[in-house]
Order: sequence, then structure tokens, then C-alpha cells
Amino acid sequence: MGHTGIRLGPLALLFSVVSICVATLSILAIATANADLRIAGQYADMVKTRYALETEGQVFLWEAGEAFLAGETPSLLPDTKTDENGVIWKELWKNDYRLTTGIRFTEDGTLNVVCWRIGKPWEAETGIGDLWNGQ
Amino acid sequence: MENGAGKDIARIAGRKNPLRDLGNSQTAQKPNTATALFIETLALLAVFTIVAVVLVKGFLFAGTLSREAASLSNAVHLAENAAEMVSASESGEMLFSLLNENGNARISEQTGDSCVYRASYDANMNPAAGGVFYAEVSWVPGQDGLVKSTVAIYRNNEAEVLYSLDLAVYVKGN
Repeated sequence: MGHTGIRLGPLALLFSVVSICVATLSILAIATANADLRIAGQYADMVKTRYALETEGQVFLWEAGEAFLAGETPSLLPDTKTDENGVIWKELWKNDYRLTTGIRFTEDGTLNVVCWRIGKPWEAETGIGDLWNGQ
Repeated sequence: MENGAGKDIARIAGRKNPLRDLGNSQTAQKPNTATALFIETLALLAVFTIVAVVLVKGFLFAGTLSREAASLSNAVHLAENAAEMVSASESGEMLFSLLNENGNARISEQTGDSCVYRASYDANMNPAAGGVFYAEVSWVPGQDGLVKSTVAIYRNNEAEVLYSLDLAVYVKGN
């Protein structure tokens, strides 16, 4: 039986090209959406950490206020340092984030917050790896 | 055409068993070709359909992930706003007045000094009664001025918490 050519080649080629293009778009769409979700999750975790630190800081303010009202010395609270200006400093850590808080009591018993700073400590990369340093 | 068909008929008619040679004739090639074309087209369409179904599922999955990311981002922003309102408040009434915009807030529960407020927001996070999202913000005065609060963000008609924050605020004189 002789073979007669069937003209499916162009159609199959067109379908293949379309499939490859749509598959590429699908992979890109999934990768982009996944990255969006991951970034949103990281931001949500960071916000949770920030407010957890805020909460601990507020508890520290409350402890200091209670100590002052009870006639005790707030600078004797655990993990605090007092500088020469009478500012009581405390550092709180959570998930690599740090809350630095500084408070001072005035003579009339008012609690002043002189510092309330949340951040992630960062040090510049000073090493140059295996590069020759010129010596 | 008629001459060719006439020759075929004459050739077949000259044999002892004319039916045996029918499959080898030129006239029988056309149905075979059509059948092969049909089968190949079906196979091609089947493969393409399977590929299309897989890819459409991929797009749907990407859409679901994208909606989840948008919901989480909206919920985090709403929770941050509510948390800042809690931080800025000195009493439950003040928190309610900060939450209440365009009549979107109401008291959900009240036990003594403790309150739970519910504020609704639309899909663009604007205050709107009966919106898509709602925030439940509790205000629980504790001992000597330390107020504890929980901010929980929900999607309407869903019991699952999208995002929540636990807070404490030192309010002197509370």
C-alpha cells in the first residue's frame, strides 16, 4: 500500500509552538504569584515581630512606671543601663530585630520616652574575599 | 475519471474473485487516507487538550496564589492601622471613635471595661459597613494601666483569621 502524505505537519507545529508559549507564560505566572505570596508572608512576619517588640517595650514602660510609683529605682530593673543623664536604656531583641528604648523620669514624676527605635542591626561588608589587597 | 474507473472495472471483472483485489485499487486508497487523517487529527487534538488542561490548571493555581498574597497584604495593612489606633488610644471609647468611620464600626462584645470592636472595610481597605474584610479589635484593661489588645482580621463569611497581632499599651491613669 503506498503512503499518501497527510498535511498535519503545519498544524502540529502551530500547536507545539502555542503550547510552548503558553507553558512558558504559565510557569512565569506561577513563579511570580509564588514570589508575591512569599514576600507578603515575609512582610507579615516582620510586622508581627515589630509589634511583639512594641508590646515588650510597653511592658517595660509599665514596669518602670510601677517601680517609680512604688518608690523603687527604675534603673534597677533587669537588663537596663543608666547613662550620665539619668536616661534608663533597655534593648529588646526578637528575630534579629532590636528595640532600643530610653526613658527618663522628671522630678515631678513624669515619664519621658527619649528613644524608641526599632531596627535590624547591619554591618557593612568590609571583607574583599580572595581579592588581592595590594600588598 | 470515467476512463480510469472503467479500466478498473474491466480489470476486476477479468479476475476469478474480483472482491479480493478491491483493497488494492486506487478507489480504496481514499477511505484509508481519510481514516488516517482523522486518527492523526484526533491524536493531535487529544494531546493538545491534555496540554491545555494542564496549563489552565497552572494559571488557576497562579491566580489562587495571587489572591492569597493580595488578601494577606490587605490584612496586614488593616492590622497595622488598627494597631496604631490602639497605640494612640487612651480608652476604649477613644479607640472606638478612631475605628468608626462612615459607620463601619460597632461594639461586638462588652464585659465590664473590656470591649471587642468590629470594623468593616471594603476590598480597597476603605471603611465601609458590610465590607469584604472586618477587623476585630479587643481592648482589655489590665492591672495599673497596662491594656492588652488583639487585632484579628477576617474575611467576611469566613471564620479563619487572615492575620492577627497581639499588643499591649501602657496607658497611665487608666
